[in-house]
Amino acid sequence: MDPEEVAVFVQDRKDDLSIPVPISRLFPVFTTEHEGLKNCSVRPQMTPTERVAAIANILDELSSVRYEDRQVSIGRDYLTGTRTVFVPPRLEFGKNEILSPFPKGSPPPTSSQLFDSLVVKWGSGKLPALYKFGPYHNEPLPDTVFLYPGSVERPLRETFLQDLTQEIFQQTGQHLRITQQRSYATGQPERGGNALLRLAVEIRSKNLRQLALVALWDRFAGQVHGELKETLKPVLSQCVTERVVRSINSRANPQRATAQVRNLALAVLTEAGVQPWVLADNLHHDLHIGIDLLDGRIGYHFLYGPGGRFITTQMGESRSRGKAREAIKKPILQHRLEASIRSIVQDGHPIRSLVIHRDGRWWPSERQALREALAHLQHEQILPPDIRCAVVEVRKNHLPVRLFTAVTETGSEFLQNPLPGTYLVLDRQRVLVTTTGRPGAWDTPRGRTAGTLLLEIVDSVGAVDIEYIAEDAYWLTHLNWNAPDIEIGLPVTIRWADQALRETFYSLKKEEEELEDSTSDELDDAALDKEELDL
Amino acid sequence: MSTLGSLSGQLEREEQRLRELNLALIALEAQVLGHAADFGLSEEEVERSRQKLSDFVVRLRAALDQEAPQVDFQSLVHRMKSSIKPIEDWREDLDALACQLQLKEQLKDEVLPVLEDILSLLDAEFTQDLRRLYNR
Amino acid sequence: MLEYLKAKAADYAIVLSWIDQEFQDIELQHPEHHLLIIHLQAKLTQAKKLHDYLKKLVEIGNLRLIRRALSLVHELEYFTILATSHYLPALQKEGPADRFLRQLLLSTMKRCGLDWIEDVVVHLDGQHATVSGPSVETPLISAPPQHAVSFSDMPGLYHEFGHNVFERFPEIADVLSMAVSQHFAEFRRKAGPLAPEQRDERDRAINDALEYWEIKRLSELFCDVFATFVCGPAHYVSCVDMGLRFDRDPFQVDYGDVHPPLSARVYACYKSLNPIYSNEKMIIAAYNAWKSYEKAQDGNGVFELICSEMFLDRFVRTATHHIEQLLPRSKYYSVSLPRDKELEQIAEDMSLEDILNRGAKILFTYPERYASWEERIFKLLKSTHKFEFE
Repeated sequence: MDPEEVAVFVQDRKDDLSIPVPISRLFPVFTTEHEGLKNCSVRPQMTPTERVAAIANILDELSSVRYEDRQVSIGRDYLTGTRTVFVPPRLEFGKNEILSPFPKGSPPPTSSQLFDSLVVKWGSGKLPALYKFGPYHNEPLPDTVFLYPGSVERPLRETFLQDLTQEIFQQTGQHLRITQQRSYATGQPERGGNALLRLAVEIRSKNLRQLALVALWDRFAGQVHGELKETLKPVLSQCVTERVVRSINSRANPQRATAQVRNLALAVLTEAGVQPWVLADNLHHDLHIGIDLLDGRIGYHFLYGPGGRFITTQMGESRSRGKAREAIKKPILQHRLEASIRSIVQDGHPIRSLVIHRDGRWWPSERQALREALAHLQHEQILPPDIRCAVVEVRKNHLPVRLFTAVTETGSEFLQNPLPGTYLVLDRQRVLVTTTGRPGAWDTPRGRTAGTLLLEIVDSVGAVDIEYIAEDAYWLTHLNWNAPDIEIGLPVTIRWADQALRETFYSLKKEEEELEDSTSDELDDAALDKEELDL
Repeated sequence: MSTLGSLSGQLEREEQRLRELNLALIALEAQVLGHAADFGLSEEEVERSRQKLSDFVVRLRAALDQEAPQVDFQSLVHRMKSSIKPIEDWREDLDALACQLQLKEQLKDEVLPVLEDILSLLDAEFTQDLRRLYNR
Repeated sequence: MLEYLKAKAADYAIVLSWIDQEFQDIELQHPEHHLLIIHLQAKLTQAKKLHDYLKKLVEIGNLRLIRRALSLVHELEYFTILATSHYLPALQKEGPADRFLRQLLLSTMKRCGLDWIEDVVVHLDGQHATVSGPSVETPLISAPPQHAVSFSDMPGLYHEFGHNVFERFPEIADVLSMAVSQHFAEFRRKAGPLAPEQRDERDRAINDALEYWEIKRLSELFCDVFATFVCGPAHYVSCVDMGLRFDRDPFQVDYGDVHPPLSARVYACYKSLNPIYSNEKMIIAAYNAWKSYEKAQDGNGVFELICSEMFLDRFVRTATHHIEQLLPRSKYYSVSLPRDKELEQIAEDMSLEDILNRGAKILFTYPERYASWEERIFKLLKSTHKFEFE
C-alpha cells in the first residue's frame, strides 16, 4: 500500500465511528446515484476540463498496450465538429400566452453566444410566465383534507398551510380549500404507519373526489409512503415530509424555503390535474408512448394532440407465476396498444406516426405485440397503411461518451458543458442528446459534467428519422412541471411512468432530497455567482 | 323566485309528448284488440300512430348510444340507465321494437310491454313534475 | 282499478263542465282576454278528448287498455290544476292593480322582443312566476302585490319573460345543451397524467356535472342572462340583492333545486351586463358587496367543477348570441344613466327598464330621495296606463 495514498473516512451506520480506509481498497456502493453523489466523500463529479485531463492521463497510461502483435495507438484529441443543437420548444401558458426562446423572431445562429444566453434565459422564464399568465389548464382543485402527525405544532401547521395556499393562489388564482384537518398518532409503535393508514381508509370512504395533503412523520418506515398512496387511491394525494414542513416554516434559509413551497404547490397542482404549460407547437410524431416497468408493474403514458398535450395514463402488470417479468407478454401489450390507439383515434386524433419510448429493453414479445397491434389497427382502418412507427430505447447509462461545447475566448479554447438540446447523431439508429446541464455554472471549480441520453431505435416500421425522434424527446423534457427551474433528464413519457411506478416503492424523503439538492445546486451556483460578482 | 317558470314549460312539453304517445299506443292496442272503431279510429289514424311511435323509438334508441343525448331525451335516458333493466337489454328491446313498428303488421305481444315500460317512465317523469306544480 | 277510473271519469265530467262554464263567463266579463280564452278553450277541447278516451277505456273494460288510463288521469289532472289553480283564480280575481301591471308588461314584453305575446294575465299574489300552459302567446305572470306601488324586486319580472322566450324557441335549449356538452367534452380531454382510477373518478364527476345541467337549470340560468341583457344594471343589482337577502350558501350545488347556485347566477348576470356599466357606481357597489359575501363563504370543489367561470362565460356567450339572433327586436340595454338631478327627471316615454335602472341608481346614490321619486313615477305610470284605484 502506498503510504501517500489518500484515505477516505468511512462510516457504516450513522452513529458509528468513522475509520480511515485507503482509497484503493474502496469500491463505493450506494443504493442510488443521488446517495452516492451526496454522501461519498470522494467527489465523483468533474468539470469538463478536469474530465478531459483525467481521460488524457488514462490514455497516456494505455500507450504501451498491444493488441495481438500490434501497438495500439490512441489519440489524445477529442472529436470536434460543428455543434448540433435543438431549438427549445415554445411553451403555451394560460390565456394562450406563449413563452418563446426567441421572442423577437428567428433564432440567432446556433454557434453564437446570443443563442446560448437566450436559451438559458428562456429556461428560467417558465416560472415567471406561470405567475404572470396562469396555467394552460387550470383544473379546479377539489376540496382538500390535510393529514398531519401529532408532532406538528399548531403555529407551524397554520403557517405552512398559509404559505402553501398563497403560493397556489399566485400560480393559478385558485384557492386551496382545506375542508378538514386531521392528526394521526406517531411514536415508535407507529413507525409502520397504522394510524395514518386507518385515517386514510376513513378519508377515502367519505369522498372519492377530494385531495389528501399529507405531512409524513419523519420517522416512518420507507414503505409507508407507497402504502399510503395505494390506500388512498383514487383520492388524489400529495405527501410532504415533516422535515420539509419545518424547513418551510423555519425561514433559516429563505431561498430554500421559497423553492420548497413553490415545488410543493406545483406538485399539489399537477397531482390534481393542472397543466402549468404545454408545448405550443406540434411534435414531429402524432403519438408518443412511454413504457416503463418496475417490479412487475407497467406504466404507460400516451401523449397526443398538439405538442402532446392530451395525456392518458394506464397501468398494467407483467407477472408470470407470481414473478415480475422484464418482458411484457405479447397479449398484454398488444391489447393495451390496440385499445389505447383505437380510443385516441376515435376521439378525433388521427395517427400517422408514433414513437414508443421504452425505458429498458425492447423484447421480442413486445416487438411481436406491436407488429400485430399495428396490423389489426390498419385492418380496422384506425391506422393508415403507411403508418410510421419507431421504438426507442432510452438509456441514461450507456456508452462512455460526453458532449462538450468548445468555446474560444481570448485566443484560447476551452471546453464547456453543453447547452441542453445539444445532440450528436452517431448513426441512423443512435443519437446522443444532452437534456440537462448548465453551461458556465457547471464549469466552475466545483462543477460537473452533464450526462447524455442515448436514444437508440430498436424497432421501426416505415421511414423514421433519428433527428426528429431526438428532437421530440428533447422537447418532451420541457414539461418539467414539478420543478421548472431544473431540467429533467428523461422525456416525460418515461419520467411520469417512472414516477407513478416508483411512488409505491420509493421513499418520499429521498425524492425530496434529490429535488432539494438539485435546487440547492442552483442556489449554490447563484451564491457562487454572487461571490464572484462581489470579488 | 319560484320554480314555476321552468317547471310549467317542462310540464307542457312532457304532457304533449306523453299525450301523443299514449294516444298512439291506445290506437295500436285498440287495433290489436279489435276496438279501433270504438275509439273512432280510422286505419289512417292508426297508421299515423304507428309512425309516431316508430319515430320516437328510433330517436330514443339513438339517444341511448350518445354520450350527451339531445336535451329532450336526457331525462328519459337517465331514467332508463338508472332502472333495474340493464341498458344492453333496453337496446336489444328497442331494436326489436323499432323493427316491429316499421313492419305494417299488428304488433306482437312481446314488444308491447316495452312500449308500455317507456310510457311508464315518461309518465313517472311527468307526475314527478306535476306534484311540484300541485305543491306550489 | 276499473271502479276508481269510472269514478274519476264521472268526477272529471263535472270539473270540465264547470271549467267550460267559467271560461265562457270570463270571456263575457273580460273581452280583453279573448285571445287567452281561445287558447284555454283549445286546451279544454284537448282535455275533453282525453276524457272521452278515458270514458271509452272504462266502457270497454279491457285490462290491457285500462293500463293506459292512469296516464290519461295524470294529463287531465295537469289541465285541471293549470285551469283551476292558476288561470281561473287569476282571471276571476283580476283587479285594478293586476290590470295596471298587465298594461305595463304588455308593452314591456313587446319592447324586449317578445312580439308573439297576444295577452298576459297578471296575478299579484306572491312570488315571481310564470306559466305558459295554454300557449306561449298568453302567459300568466304572478308577482308580489307590492308591484302595484313599488319597484322593489320588479327586475325579477324580466327573468319570467326569459322563461317565455325559452319556451318559444326550443332551439335555445338545444344550443345551450350543446354548449354544456362541448365544454365538458373539452374539459374531459385535458388534465395532466392522472392514474386510471383518478381519471375514472374525474370522469364520474364530469358525468354528474353533465346531468346537473338538465333543461330546467339551463332555462333558469338563461332567464338570468336574458333579464340582464334586456333590463340592464337594475337586474344585476336585483340578483345580488336576492343573493344577499336570503343568505344561503352561494356555492351550494343542490340537485333538488332547479335554480343553479347563486354564485353562478350572479356571475352570469355580471357577464351579461353591457360593459359600459362596469364603472357605474351602483354596479361597483353591488359587485363589491357580493364579492365580500362570497369571500366569507367556503366554496366547494363540486361548484368549481360544475360552475367554472370558463363554463359560465361560454354559456353567457352562447345565450346572448342566440337572444340577438332569435329576438332581433330585443335591445341589449345600453342606455347611459344620467347623474345628479337629471337622474330624477321623469319623462312620459321612459321605458320600464329606464325607470328601474334610474330607480336602482337613485336608491344607491340618494336613498333619502328614493321614496318621493318612486311615488311620482307611479303616479305618472298609472295615469298613462289608466289605472284607477277602486
